[in-house]
Amino acid sequence: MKHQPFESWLYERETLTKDQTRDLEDHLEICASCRALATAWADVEGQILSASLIAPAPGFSRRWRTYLADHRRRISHRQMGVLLLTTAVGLAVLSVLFGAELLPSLQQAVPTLVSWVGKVANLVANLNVFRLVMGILVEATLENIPLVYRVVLPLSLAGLAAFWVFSLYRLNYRRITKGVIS
Amino acid sequence: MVERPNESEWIHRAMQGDDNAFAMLVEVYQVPVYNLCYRMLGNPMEAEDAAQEAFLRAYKGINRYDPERRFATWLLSIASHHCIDRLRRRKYPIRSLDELLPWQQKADDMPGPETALTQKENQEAVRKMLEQLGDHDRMVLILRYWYDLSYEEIAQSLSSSVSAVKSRLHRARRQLADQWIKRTSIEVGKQGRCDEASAF
Ligand SMILES: [Zn+2]
Repeated sequence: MKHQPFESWLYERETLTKDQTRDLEDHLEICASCRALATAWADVEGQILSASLIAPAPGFSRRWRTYLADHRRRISHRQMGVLLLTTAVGLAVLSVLFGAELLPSLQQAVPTLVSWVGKVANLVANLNVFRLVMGILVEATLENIPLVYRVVLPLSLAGLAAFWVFSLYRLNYRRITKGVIS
Repeated sequence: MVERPNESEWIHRAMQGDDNAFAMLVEVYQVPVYNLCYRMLGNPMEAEDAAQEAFLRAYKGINRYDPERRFATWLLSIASHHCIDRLRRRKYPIRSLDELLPWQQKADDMPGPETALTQKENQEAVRKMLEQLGDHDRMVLILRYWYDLSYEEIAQSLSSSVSAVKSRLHRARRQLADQWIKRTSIEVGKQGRCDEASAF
């Protein structure tokens, strides 16, 4: 007896047309082999359909929060490890690449550095002399300037400075205002 | 699996980084996700770990979730891929516990003692037969029967085609029917020998 396509149709019942379903039922009436398969599949399908969902042990959500926290901790440790490792490797690579070149240069730079330190010390000493000279000059000049000028000159300078600051402010303010309007 | 009224709100909040909202989703979907892992891996401890990992993957990828899709299908898809990955990495075959753990006894299975025994034996037999199926075939069958997913949804979940899903489902059903016939004939044989022995 020819079992196909009926044997295949046994497992595709939900996609069969009405005619195909009728033909299959007709075949099952006369074919014991296909009928045995149909009964077997119906039994198994019944068992599967009667099996309900299996739940996890109580407290799954609580364990999930712990799982998430552990994951974050692991990630944090891993990132820290990667950072330290990268830094260590970077330093090692730099010292291998440039260590040999930089060491002689550093040794050569020692006398230059020493001479620069001397120059700075000289400059500081010279500045002290400069301040002393300037102090004497200012003192001598002030003694020869009349009292009126001693008052008027600083006041004029202060007025000029105030005018300068005010002009700068007005210029900037107008530019900003124009920028906003446009 | 019907979506709850608050679900889209929880998903929205979870997408914005609200851990409590995601924990609500874990609470709601723990059973379907765990069941999928258990049916695929056949071991409660491994199923627990796989389910936790599936939720973690969903948590990390929540911003890739397309709200046009059912959340349950998206979540099951993640769990399915994770279980398949685990099975691929696993070198030993499925080894499940013979008995379900106490919390895994199903509340709706409360028939009389004899019926309960037969039912339990049959369920156990089906579970073992499922374990004999190929991983992808078993997954298709589980998604179809336990989660009532359409062919299209299964195909989408497993990154496969509808024709491949149909073919896998067909193969799985035929294999299960063949195994059931073998099991029944063995039991009939055993029964026959017992009857002959008792006649003497
Ligand atoms: Zn036939």
